[in-house]
Parts: sequence; structure tokens; C-alpha cells
Amino acid sequence: MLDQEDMAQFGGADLYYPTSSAREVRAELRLGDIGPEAGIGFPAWVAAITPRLQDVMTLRSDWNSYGARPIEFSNLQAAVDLLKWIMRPNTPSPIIMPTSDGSLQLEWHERGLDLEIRVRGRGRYYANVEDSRTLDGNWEGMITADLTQLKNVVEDLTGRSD
Amino acid sequence: MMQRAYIDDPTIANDEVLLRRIPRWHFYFDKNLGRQRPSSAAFEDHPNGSPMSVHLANILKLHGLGAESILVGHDGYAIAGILAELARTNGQGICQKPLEMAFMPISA
Repeated sequence: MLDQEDMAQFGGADLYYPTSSAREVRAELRLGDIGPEAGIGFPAWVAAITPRLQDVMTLRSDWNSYGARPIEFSNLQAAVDLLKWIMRPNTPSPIIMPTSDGSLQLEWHERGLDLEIRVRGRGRYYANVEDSRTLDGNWEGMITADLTQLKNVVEDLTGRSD
Repeated sequence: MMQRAYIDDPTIANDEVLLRRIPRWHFYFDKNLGRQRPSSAAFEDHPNGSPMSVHLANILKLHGLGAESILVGHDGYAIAGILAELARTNGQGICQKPLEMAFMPISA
């Protein structure tokens, strides 16, 4: 069994427990208009990701034990803003990953196609695409107002999903 | 924040295992691989700009500790281990700090 002295050699911060109380979550994500590709009705992905978004909002400082910041609500809204324009009716829901700087990462991994989008606020998105089927499909960079390239990737991964 | 200068430590061998705690938030089922795996989001620098922290498996061993020792007080976490060589291959350097280890871009 380790004693306090042993652990201190490997980082006193490792023994830190967050003591701040959980933040009250009284925020409301606004869906607004949905892109025409999303189809008619309430998109399934909204219901699929909502519990995860709610969980992410409860994260306190140091939630990763390495000093991570709480996730900023504006990043959740920015993620939803982007999703409503790129998602199609049958697109699998993204995996929502909190990141240490308080931003979010949206991920899809479908049959050789990996898409990760970093969300650092409204209009601040960075994409990384890796396609094991074709090296030509690999790219990364800031997402601009022209979503054509990103929508093509989403269409591709939608086609590869179950 | 004042950033210290980092220099890759050649005394850390390429076959050294670097350990990092992974919170449950950062695991997902990867259909491409058919198994659980940590997200790339689990391997990031500290939000204050200092390099990503890891533990050296060999240093733990020198003190009679196993990898699981870094999970003490961290219920629900797992451990990911990578070789120093992999970090260096991807442009990272590794240097020792008194209390822990840190990755940093070699160019820094």
C-alpha cells in the first residue's frame, strides 16, 4: 500500500481531489433551424447526444486529474450549431469528448474513416480526417463557412455506417 | 505563464514506457478496431500551456511500484502506456521533472 510520502514523489497533484461543488446546470441548448440535409422532424442525433452533453456540463475543474478546465457552455452550443448543418438523417451520432482546455471534440469512427472536429466556440472548428481506404481522403484544417468538404466526409461516413 | 525551456532527455530510452491516466470520459468503442480505446483528447497538454504529463514505468519500478500505483485515489480511471520511441517519432521530446514527466514539442 502506498503512503503519502511515496505518492508525493510522483506528483502531489495526483492526490488532489476536486472539492468545489458541482456547478448548477441551468442552460438551454437552442436547436434553431436545421440544415436541409437533416430531413424532416426532430433529428435522432439530438436525442442521442443530449445525455452526454448534460454529463459533460457537470464536469468540474481537474476532471481528468491533470488540471482540465470545466467545459464552456458556449462550446456545446457551437457543437450543436455545426451538427445541425452537417448531419444527415442516418448519420451516426458523434462521440462527444470533453477536452482539457474546456472545449469539445466531436468524433466519428466508421469503417476506416475517422473524423474528429475540435469545437472552440461558434465558428471556430478544426477538422481532422483520416481514411484508411484512401490516403487522398486525409486532410485537416479550419472549417470555413463553406461546409462542402466537411459535408462530403459526413456523407461518406454515413454511407459506411451500419 | 512563464514557460521553462524543455530539452529532450537522451537518458530516457526509447523502450521506456510512458504512462498516463485516462478518465472514463475519454474511452469509447471504436468500431474500426472492434474494441474500447482512448480518444486522442486524452493526450493533450495542460490547459495552462505546460506539456502533457506522464509517468515513467521504470521510475515507478525503481521505487517498488507498479503502473497501478498512479491510479491510487482515482477511481474509474484506466492507464494508457506508450513507448518513448512513439512519442519521439511524432515529434515530441520527453524530459524529467522532480514530480512527474512531461512531453513537449522538440522544437520548443
